[in-house]
Amino acid sequence: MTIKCGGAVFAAHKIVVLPQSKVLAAAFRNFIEGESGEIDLEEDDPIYVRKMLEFCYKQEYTLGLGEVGSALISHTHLYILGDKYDITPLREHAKANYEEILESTKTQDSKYFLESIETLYEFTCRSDDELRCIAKTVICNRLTEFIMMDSWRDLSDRIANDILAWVARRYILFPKEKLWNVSARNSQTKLGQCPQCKIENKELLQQQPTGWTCRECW
Amino acid sequence: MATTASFDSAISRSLSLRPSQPQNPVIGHGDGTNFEALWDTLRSALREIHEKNASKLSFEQLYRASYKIVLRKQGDQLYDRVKEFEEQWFAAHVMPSIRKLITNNLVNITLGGVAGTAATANERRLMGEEFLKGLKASWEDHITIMNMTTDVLMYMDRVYCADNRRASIFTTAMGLFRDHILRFPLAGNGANLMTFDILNSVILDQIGMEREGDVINKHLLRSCIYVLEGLFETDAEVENDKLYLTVFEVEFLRSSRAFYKNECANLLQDANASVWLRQTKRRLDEEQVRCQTTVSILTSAKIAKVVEEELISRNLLEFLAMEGSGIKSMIENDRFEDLEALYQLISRVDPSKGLLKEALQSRAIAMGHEINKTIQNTDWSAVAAPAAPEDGSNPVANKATSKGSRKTVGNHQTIAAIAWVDDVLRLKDKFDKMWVKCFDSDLILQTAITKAFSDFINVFDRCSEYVSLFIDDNLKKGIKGKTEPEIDIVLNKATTLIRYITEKDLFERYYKKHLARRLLHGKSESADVEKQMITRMKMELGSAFTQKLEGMFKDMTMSEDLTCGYRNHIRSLGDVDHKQVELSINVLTSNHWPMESMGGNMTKEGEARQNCTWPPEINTLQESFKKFYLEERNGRMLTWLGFLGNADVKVTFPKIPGKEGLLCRERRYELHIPTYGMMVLLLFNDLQEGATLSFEEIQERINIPTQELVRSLQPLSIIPKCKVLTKIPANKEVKPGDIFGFNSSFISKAIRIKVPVVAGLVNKVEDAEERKVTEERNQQNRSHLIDSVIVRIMKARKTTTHSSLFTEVITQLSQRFKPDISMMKKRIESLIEREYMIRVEEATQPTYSYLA
Repeated sequence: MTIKCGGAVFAAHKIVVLPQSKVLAAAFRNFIEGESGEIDLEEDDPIYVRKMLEFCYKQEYTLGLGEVGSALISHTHLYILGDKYDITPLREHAKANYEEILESTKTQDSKYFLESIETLYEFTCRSDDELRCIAKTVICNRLTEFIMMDSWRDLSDRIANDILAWVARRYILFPKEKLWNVSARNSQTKLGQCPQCKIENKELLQQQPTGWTCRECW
Repeated sequence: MATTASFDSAISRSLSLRPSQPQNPVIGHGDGTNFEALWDTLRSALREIHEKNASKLSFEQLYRASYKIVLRKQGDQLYDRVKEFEEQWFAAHVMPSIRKLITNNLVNITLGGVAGTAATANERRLMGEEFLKGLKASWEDHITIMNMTTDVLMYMDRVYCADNRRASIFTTAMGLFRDHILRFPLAGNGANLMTFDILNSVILDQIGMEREGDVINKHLLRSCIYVLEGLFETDAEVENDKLYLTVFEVEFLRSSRAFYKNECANLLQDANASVWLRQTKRRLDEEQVRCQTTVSILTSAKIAKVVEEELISRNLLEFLAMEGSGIKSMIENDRFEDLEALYQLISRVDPSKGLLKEALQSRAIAMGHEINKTIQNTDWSAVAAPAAPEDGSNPVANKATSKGSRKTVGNHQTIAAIAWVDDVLRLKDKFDKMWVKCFDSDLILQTAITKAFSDFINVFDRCSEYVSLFIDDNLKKGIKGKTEPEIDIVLNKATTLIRYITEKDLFERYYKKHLARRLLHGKSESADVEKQMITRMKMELGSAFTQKLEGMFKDMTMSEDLTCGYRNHIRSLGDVDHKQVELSINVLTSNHWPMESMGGNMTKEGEARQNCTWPPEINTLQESFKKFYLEERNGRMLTWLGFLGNADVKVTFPKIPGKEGLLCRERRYELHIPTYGMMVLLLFNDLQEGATLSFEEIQERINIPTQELVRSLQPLSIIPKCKVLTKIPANKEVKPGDIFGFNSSFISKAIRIKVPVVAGLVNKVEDAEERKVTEERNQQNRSHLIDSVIVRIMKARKTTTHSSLFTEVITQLSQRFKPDISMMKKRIESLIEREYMIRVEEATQPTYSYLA
């Protein structure tokens, strides 16, 4: 099969690609693509389509030299392609890469970060919020830092509102939830009776000065 | 506006970083007009798809269009538009062509179940097929179209439908087919008919035709059933809500029930049970095949149940009772195929097989009673020879005839006994064969048959005696020349019969009596087989039952040793006396042997048996043996039973001067006669030639019971073969007052003469009087047994209620016999009188207490 894309032409094997994407598989079943053996993904970016195909063969993709700085953008686009063509492993892979970068990113990279958020909001639906959540959590954690930035003011209202709601949820409605989640991820939990509220069979977490407590008594 | 501006600048920034990226037209154009444009593209594509031109469309464009609409959160609009499009398509293109196929005739059939005036069955079938074909085609088109549509709208299904919990567009489209095609109201008939009603009626009509024997297009029907199996009551697509199950199957079962009800009525009226069995079996098979080829496999259990209920359960009794073909005739004429079919059908509807069980039981009992009646009513003296069947009883019958006029009623009775056993065994064979061949060796039925046999056998009051006689006969002559497996079969038969007998004690009594005769008179054919029989009984009835029988065998072996020992003892004494009488002795433990029945009716007459006067020669012998015997076994008492023994006597007849031939020589004969006969003959030893003895004289000198004496004298003085005594008057009967003398002119061709044993020493059926005695004795024995059981129970329990005591007694005795309630009551009364127990006065229930 041939995949055309914005001037670029990629040759690929049906037997490799089609089983991984239900969408492409459907295209080659009953429609003109099935007869001609080629598909034109005219509105997708050939850079990312190329990486998507690479992923189909290798289960991973590599970023070009020029993309190192804007890696977040690339991962975001691959995440979106994974969603559009229903290649779940690609989505997961891109998400993991994205998260990994964020954990090590310093403030100076945040403009790419905000840009990736814009792209994300444009090309995914609200229900598809896995990557969005990761991004929003990062913003929450470094809220003051982001608010000071110029590019923050450039963020669209829609996105800003969504982030605001997220922040409110984290810090005002369920403050303990967030701390608990972060702490629980970094230390061990156990099941048992909470020493404070005396309720049996709760998930307990060790807290330095007071010892074990349940989520409610945190 | 500010936001939009800043947004744009953000984009341009990102663009400046990646100049190769083309302008994405989606971004920044999320308004309404754009949706209409995209939908237009999609709608025309959908039309193409519906017109089967999909291969000219670019999937990428269409997918992208629906992808964009969903990203813009206009998925709901898209969903509704597609639905609307589909509805319009049904109304404009699909339904009209189907409506055309629904002719007035089809409507009429659906309404009244009667074809229109002109429609023959064939026309009706073709018309129905046309309709089904049309419906099937439109369904298949619909499926293909919707598969493609779903492909195009894949992103909507995956993202929009999942987020908003809406059924997938495919499911919705299936629902549309249900609502707009199947449930399309057919106007103008006034009966609110829908396409669905027509469909049901056509399918059922076709199935009806097939049941009548027509050939129909099963494949077509199956396709239409698939439609119903693929559609559900709601878009939730719950498995149990398949239209097939909710609508069609209900109708199908209802119409089938009506059909089979009618068929059953016809069968009852016109056919016989055999036809009914075959038809039912065929119908059941047909319906199973129908479920596989025409309707759904889901229905197979349900339709089978309908057939079972209508054709089997509902009128089972009537079919079973059918004159000349019902179960009675099946059993009597060995219609194994019918019985097998019957068994299979009944097993389907009733795992306990109650009706079949009852029918079998009552047949077996009726046939058993028939045998009983025949045996009792036949005059055996008249038909003895012809009635003897080809097997086991044959030698007896022959012998009986050869005995000529001397046959007694007892002998005929013996033949009757064996005939009875043979008949019973033949009946048993018949039922066994039936059981294995037709009833799949069903345990419930086996129990039923066993019970029936037990019932009618025990109703026949001579069963114990007859069975024992049967064994006696076989062990005496029946097994002669038979191979081991054949003997095994005979023994098996005997064991089977014993199993049925409830009054085991009575049987034991007879068996002992018959066994004693066999052993003492050396009539038994094979000691090995005798032992086998005992082993079988031991297994069947327990060792308590066979203990005494085994004792009898032990006595016999001990006696052999004794005889041998005694002989050696005499030899070692050295004084070889030629006059010495050789002795072969059987010492019987009186406990083990049925003395009363062996001794005939002597006890009844109150005569002690030991007071007969032994001749001096014998007396010496007895004393000598007694001395030998008691040397090692001090303190025992020996009683001589003259009536059981036999003796070989050498008789010398002097030559008679003046006579010719044999008579002029001295003749020596060896007579084999019972002990009593020997005693009689010894009297004549010392007599003067020509002297006579009267009956009374003989009796006085040897002092044996009158009847025994008659029996001893009879052969010696009447039967020509061994007429060593003369009798005056010379008639055929021996009576007190007769006078006997030595028949010096006796001649015989044989040197060894066996004096025939007169009736009484042969095992035969008892006459009424003997029977009464045996029964009385048995009753007495039973009362002792009951006594001992009651005392044992009371001793263990100290106090117990009347009812639990009775239950316990019955359980404990059931191995041997079924205790009579009134007898048990009497025994309790007697035990209370004898102060073994007392009634507890203050108890609410009748209770007894044991007195130590």
